[in-house]
Amino acid sequence: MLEFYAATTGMLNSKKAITECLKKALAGQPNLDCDLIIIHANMGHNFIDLISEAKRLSDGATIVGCSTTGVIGMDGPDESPRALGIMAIKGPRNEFAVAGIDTMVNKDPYTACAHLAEDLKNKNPDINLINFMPSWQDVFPTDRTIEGFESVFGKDIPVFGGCAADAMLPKTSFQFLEDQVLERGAVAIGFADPTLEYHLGVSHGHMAFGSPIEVTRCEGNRIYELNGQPAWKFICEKLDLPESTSFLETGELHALALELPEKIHEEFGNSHLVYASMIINKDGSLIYPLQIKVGTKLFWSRRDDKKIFMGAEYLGKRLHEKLAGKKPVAVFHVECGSRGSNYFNQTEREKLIRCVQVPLTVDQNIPWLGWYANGEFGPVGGKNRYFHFSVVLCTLIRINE
Amino acid sequence: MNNKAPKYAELIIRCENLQDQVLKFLRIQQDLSIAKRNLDKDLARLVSVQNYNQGAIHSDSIEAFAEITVESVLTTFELECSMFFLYHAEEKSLDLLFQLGLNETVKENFKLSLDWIMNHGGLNDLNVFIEEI
Repeated sequence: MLEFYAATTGMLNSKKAITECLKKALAGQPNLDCDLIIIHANMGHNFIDLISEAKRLSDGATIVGCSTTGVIGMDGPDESPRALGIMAIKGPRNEFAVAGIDTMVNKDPYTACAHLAEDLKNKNPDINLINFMPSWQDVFPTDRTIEGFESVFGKDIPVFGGCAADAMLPKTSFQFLEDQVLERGAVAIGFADPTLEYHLGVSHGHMAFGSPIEVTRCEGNRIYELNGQPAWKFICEKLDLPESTSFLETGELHALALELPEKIHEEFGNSHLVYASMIINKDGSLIYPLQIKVGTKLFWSRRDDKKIFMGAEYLGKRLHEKLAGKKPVAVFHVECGSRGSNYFNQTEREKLIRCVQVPLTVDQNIPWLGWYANGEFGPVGGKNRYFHFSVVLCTLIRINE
Repeated sequence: MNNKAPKYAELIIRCENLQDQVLKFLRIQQDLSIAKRNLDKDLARLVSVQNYNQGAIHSDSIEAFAEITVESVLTTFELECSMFFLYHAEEKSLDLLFQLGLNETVKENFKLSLDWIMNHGGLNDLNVFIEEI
């Protein structure tokens, strides 16, 4: 039976910060020993110091995690350069497994993730939940990334998590695996505790609008033409921007929405998925996060602050109903970096996080580890998907409690 | 008054024009959001500077002052490392008193020669902030 303990800190010195986190998380425990430590750290930290000190304090613990743009705990969000969050887990070694890939650069995401999944499965064939933390720019097309996991575990395995971030620069990312810091790699945790039940949910606050934009030439997830015009040129002209504009300069305005099947609109609280193209090629083609076909209809989208807050609250309430009165034993929370300090001030960010936390925690202290990512994974409508601008929650409850 | 209903093709054009207008307004909205975000960041920085002032005034030793200064520089300006040196007049060197963000191995007896700094234009660099206390 896995037991969960979480804490966050903004302490500046990396060794002192991980010590503080472990002490806070494991307060009341006889010592700092645990079996798995999940670490999310902002880019200001010395990752080697974090890992080595965690190993020193909890000898024998498996270390896994990734770089972020900030962390979220029960005391709210922290996007300071040295924000740190951990989830310390105690329990039998046959109830979890971790695996990693040194680098995802220039690797086919399907093959890489199938290998990662095989590694997890070989270590523990009973895994029934996967927490995935890859490099953000090496997972496209993400539908193939997900299929890599599903090729080993089947389509019913929930895959949630987020792409490691680098303080929204975005240029690179780092993953932690045992005593190694990987750059543009991937790590995954498989959970196999038979006493746990998982409830996951996703929400975003973007609205699709306007007449459809047709993909008129594409290959895989690379879009060459929209409405018969070169893709990036088309977007920039519509936004009244020069074609030399980078995707970062357009903010979220270039994000194009894809319609979801109607039957899952209610569950998701939205009729569309919205994706930014974070890679623009020199020829003006876009790397869309999913594979699409010629003739696919995409839509403009706009951020709706009211919907962001309402969606977060709706998600918290919906998950709370699923818990049927049980207190979560832990919550894993992945929030898109665009819902953080790049858009909201501290007061607004705290309010947004409270929107999801209050319905779920009812002001009880629950081990809660959240982090700001560069793309999120989670299941919606019984299907694992990739998201942008979203919040993903995974609540864990004890079956017989 | 012209009661003639617009044709479908005309409506499509009007709709497209309206959509283009919406996109342009969204761009303006985004620019305003960025301006708001930058103002919020500046405000947070001012609060941080104010907190530093209060902490620094109450520090009871040069070591405590160095620590609070280094920490405040890191958090206020979101930097990766920060160092506090004391000027050693006889050796004409800057001796490290406190730092955060550097590898621990460089901490011990870390000094900067004043001659080296002057030869490398450090004192004329506008980004270098030197205060005599």
